[in-house]
Amino acid sequence: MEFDPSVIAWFKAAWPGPLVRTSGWLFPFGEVIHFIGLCLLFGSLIFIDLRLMGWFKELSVKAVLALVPYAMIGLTMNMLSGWLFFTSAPDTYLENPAFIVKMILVLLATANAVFFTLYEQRKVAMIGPGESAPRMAQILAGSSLGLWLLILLIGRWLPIFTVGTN
Amino acid sequence: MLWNFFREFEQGDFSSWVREGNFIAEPFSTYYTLLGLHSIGMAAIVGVTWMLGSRIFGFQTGISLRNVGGLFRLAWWGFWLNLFSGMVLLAAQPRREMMTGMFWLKIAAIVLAVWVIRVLQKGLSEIRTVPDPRGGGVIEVVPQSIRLQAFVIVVLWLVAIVAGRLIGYTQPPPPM
Repeated sequence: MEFDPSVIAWFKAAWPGPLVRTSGWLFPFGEVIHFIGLCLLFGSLIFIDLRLMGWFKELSVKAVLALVPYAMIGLTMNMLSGWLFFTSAPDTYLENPAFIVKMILVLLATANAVFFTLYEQRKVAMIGPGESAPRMAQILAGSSLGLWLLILLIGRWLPIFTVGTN
Repeated sequence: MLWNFFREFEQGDFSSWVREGNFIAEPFSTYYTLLGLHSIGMAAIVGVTWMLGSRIFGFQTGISLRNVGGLFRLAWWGFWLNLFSGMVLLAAQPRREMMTGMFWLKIAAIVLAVWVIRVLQKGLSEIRTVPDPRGGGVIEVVPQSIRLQAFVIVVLWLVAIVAGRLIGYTQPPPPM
């Protein structure tokens, strides 16, 4: 995929890119934040999505949905640390097909979450212990879990597709 | 003697496949695919135990601590995936990993965290309930010792994550 050099130059100059390129510890620090964010995001979503899909029926859906703030915190940590990585070498990321696929999947997973919040969350919030979620909520939960697993796996594949590595 | 065994092992087919081979098909390298599975397993056990910790600290009180057996099974599933993929990853370059201090710090933090999780799981099965004075249901009384165990687990996972991330940055060159 071809990108306008001026766009790449803008990303390269954007904060905190220049700082990351000259610092020995900012990139590993970002990696730690990225993984902590991932644990918060994945840990809460696995709870919520599996309950909606019919597991852990001894818990009410409302009780499990109380974990949503952790997913939001985790996603924010991942977006901030992801921006730190990206601005450190935007050209390397943009020419990596795995990165493009990962970003498309992140957008899909976010859209999936927004759709669930707008159209399904109110319906499922009253589901008590032992009850099942509606079909649509189950499908959205399954696709959320599948998408995030794929995002995690593709994130680890980035070095394979980075030009000049592997 | 063990060092010589690892040196020969690293020159073998299995170790070379983990280090340089492809997982099922090209270009999906075995090493990075295993790293992905390792991350999924780690995120599962760390994430689930952190969520349980949050409940133990007094948040999400709608989640009954007497009904979290399924979640522990999920956490243990993550642990086994993490352990299995970690052991295969170790086969890629065992001598280099063993020469890295951060590797041992990560292993120590994981071993301790797993031990404390087992103690916590046992403690949760014996949790007491008292009638809610506001009427209706019951309140689960979480002893201070369980709160302390949950806190120790959170800290140990943080140590394991930081050490795990720093392994790649602090490794010595591959030994001859």
